Amino acid sequence: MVSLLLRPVRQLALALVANDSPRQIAWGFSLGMLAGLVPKGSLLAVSLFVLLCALRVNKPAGLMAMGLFSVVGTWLDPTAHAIGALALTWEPARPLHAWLYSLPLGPWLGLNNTVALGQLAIGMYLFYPTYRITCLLVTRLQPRAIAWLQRYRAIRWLTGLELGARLGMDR
Amino acid sequence: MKLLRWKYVLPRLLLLLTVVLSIHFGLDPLVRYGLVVGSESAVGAKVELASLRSSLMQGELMLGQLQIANPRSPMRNLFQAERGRLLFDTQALLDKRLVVRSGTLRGIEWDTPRVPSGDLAAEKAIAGENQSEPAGPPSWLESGRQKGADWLAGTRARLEQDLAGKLETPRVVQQLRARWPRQLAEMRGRVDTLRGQVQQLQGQMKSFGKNPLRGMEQMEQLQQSLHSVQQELLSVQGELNRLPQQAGKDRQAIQVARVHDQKMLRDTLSGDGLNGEQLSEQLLGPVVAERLKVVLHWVRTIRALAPNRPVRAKTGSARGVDVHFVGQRPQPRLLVQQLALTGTVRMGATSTDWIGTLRDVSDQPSLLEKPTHLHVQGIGMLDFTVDATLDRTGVVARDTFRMDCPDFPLPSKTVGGGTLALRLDLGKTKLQVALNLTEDRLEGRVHLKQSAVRMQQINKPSFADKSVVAKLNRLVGQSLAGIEQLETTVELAGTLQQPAWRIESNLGPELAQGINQATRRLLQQQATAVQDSIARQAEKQMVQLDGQRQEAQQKLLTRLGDSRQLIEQLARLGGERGRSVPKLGMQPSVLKKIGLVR
Repeated sequence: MVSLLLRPVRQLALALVANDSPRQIAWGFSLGMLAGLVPKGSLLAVSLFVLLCALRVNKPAGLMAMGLFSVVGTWLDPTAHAIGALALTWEPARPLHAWLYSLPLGPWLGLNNTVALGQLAIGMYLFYPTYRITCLLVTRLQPRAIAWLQRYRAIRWLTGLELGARLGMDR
Repeated sequence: MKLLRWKYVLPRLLLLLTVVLSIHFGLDPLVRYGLVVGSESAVGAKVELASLRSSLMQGELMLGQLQIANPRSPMRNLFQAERGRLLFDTQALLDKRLVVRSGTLRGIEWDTPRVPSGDLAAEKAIAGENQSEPAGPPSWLESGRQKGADWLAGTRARLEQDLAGKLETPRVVQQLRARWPRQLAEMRGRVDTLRGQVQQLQGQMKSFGKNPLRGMEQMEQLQQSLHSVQQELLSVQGELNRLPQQAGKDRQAIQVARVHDQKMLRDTLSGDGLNGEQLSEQLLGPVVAERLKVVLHWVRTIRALAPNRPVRAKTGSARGVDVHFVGQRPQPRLLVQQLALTGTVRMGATSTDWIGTLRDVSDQPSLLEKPTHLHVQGIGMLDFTVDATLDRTGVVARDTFRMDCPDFPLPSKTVGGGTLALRLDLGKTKLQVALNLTEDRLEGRVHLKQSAVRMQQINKPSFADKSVVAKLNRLVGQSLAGIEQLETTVELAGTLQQPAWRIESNLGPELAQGINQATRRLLQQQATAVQDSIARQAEKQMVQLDGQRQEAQQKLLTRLGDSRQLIEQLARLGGERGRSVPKLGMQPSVLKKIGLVR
C-alpha cells in the first residue's frame, strides 16, 4: 500500500537515478508523451502503451510523461480537432485513411477520429524535439541530480523500497 | 551451447500466457460490458445480463437471465428471457461492430415488474413512479367508461311521461262542466228576477187601475218599467233559445281538443327513440376503452424495442468527431439480423406459448436503412399472429401493427347501466387490429366479430310502473334474442396518449330498433287507452250536461212563458208609448182579465 502511494515519487527519483542512459530516458519520456496525448480507449493508445512497456526505455519517465501529457492533451483538443479534421479531409490522404480504416481492427485504432489523429500528429511532430530536449536535459542534469539526491536518506530509502518492491517485499 | 536460451524465451512465453489467460478470462466480461452498453444505447433503458459465455472461435454467445427495462416504464421490464444463444459475426468484431447473424431467445416474458428502476438516469427515477403513464386512468378512458352510464334514460323518460296530463280534451270537458251549471244558474236568476219585476209591475198597475187620475204622474215610469221588462224578457228568451247552439259549439270545441290530443299522441309515438349508432357508442364505448388501453399498452411495449430516442449523446470523455470515408457506408455498432424467440404471453385470462422472429434490430436504424420486424405467432391455447414493423430509418418514426386472432377470448362484460344493463358473453371473438403510427399520431382499425354471442339483461327496475318494466324487459329480451352475431369496427384516431375512436356495430342499431319498436308499442297501447278513456268520459259528460241543459231550459222557458203572457197583456193595455192612460180605465173587461179590477 505504501508502495502504491509513493510510486509517483519513486518513479520520478528512479527516472533520474536509474542506471538507464539519457537516451533511454528521453525515449521513454517521448513515447510516454505520445501515448499520453492520444485519447485513451482506442487500439492506438493501447499499442503505444504496449510499445512503451515492451521497449527497453525508461518506463518511469514514460509513465510520468503519459500522466502529464494526458492532462495537457485535453487542453490541446481544439487544436488537435482542427489538425485532425484537416488531415482527414485532405483529399490526397483520403485513400490512405480509408485503407487504414478498412483494415481488420482498423476501426479499433480510432484513426478516423479528428482528435485522435490530431493528437497523434501533434505528438509525432513534438516527438523528436521532446526526445532531443529531454536527452540534453538528462545528460546535463542526471549526474548532478544523482549526486544531490543521493545525499538524502529518503532517496536512499526510496531506492531500497523500489528494490524491495521488485523483490516482492511489500506484499 | 544451450539449445534454448531460457532467459530470452521464458519472459516471452510468460507474456504470451498472460495474453491468452487475459483473453480467456477477460473476454466474457468485456463482451458482456459491450453488449449491455450497446443494448442500453439502442433501447434507452437499463439492460441486465446475469451471465454470458462467449466463444470467439465459434462466434457464439450464451446468455443467461436477460432483462431489458422498458424505457417508458422504468419499473417494468420490456421483456426478460431465461436464456439465449447468439451467433455473431467475428469478422464484424474487427470492425468494432457486434453483428448477431442469428440466435434464439427462450423463455421470454413480456412486461414483467422489475427492481430497481430501469431508467438510465437513475436519480430521476423514483421507485414505484411511472413517468410516462400518470397515476389514475387517463381522461379518455374515464369518458369512455362513463358513456354507458344510463343509456336507457331517454326511453325511460318517454315511458314515464304523463300522457293524460298533456291531453287537451279533459281540460275542455272540465271547463264545460264548470261553465254550464254556472250559466244555467245565472239564467235561472234572471228568470226569477224577471218574474219578480213582472209581479211588481202587476201590483203597480193594479193600484193605478183603482184611481188612474191619482197615479197620472207614475204613468211614464210604469211605461218605462214595462218596456225594460219586455226587453229583459226578450233577452232571456233569446239566450234560452241559443242554449242548443251553445251546446253544439261546445261539442265542436271538444272535437277540436280531441284532434289536438290525437296529434300530440302521434308526435309522442313518432318522437326520437334510441339512435343505433349512439347506442353502440354508449354500450360498447366502455368495453372499447378498456380494450384499447390494453392494445395501446402493448403497442408502446413493442415500440420500445426500437430506439425511441437518439443514440445516447457522447459522454464528456468522448473527444473529436468520427469521420466516415467515401465509399464506406457507416454501419450500426449493434445489429441483430435475425433472432428466433419463444416465450409465453398472457392475454386476458389465457396464458399461451408463442414463437416469433425479430429481424433487423440495431442501435442506429438510420444507418441500417431497414425497419425492425417482429413476427409473433401463438402456438398454445391461443392462435394468433402479430406483425409489427418499426421504422426508424427516417426522421419521422413510422410503425405499423397488425394482429389477427381468430379465437380471441374476451371475458364476459356488463355494458350499459342505470335501469337496464346487459351482460355480453362474447365467447370466442375474431379480432383483427391494424394500426399505423406516425410519431405519436394514431390511425387504425380494430375489428371484432363474434358469431355466437349471448346477451342477458341485468335489470334494476326503478320505473314507476312495474308493468311497463316487465313489458319492456320482455320486448328487449326479444330484440336481444334476434342478435346472433356481433360485428364491431372501431376506427381509431388521435394520439397514443389521447386516442379517439368511432364505433360501428350492429349491436346498437339492432338493439335500438328492438327497443324503439317495443317502446312505440307500449306508448301506442298507453295512448290508445288514454284516448279511449278520455273520449268515453267526454261523451258521458256531454250527455249529462246536455240533459241538465235541456231540463233547465224547459223549466225556465215554462216559467218564462207565464211571465211573457202577463207582460204581453200589460203591454197591450199600456199601448204604445204616448198613448193616454185613460184608455186603461175605459176597458174594464181587460182590466178585470189581467187582475187589475175585480
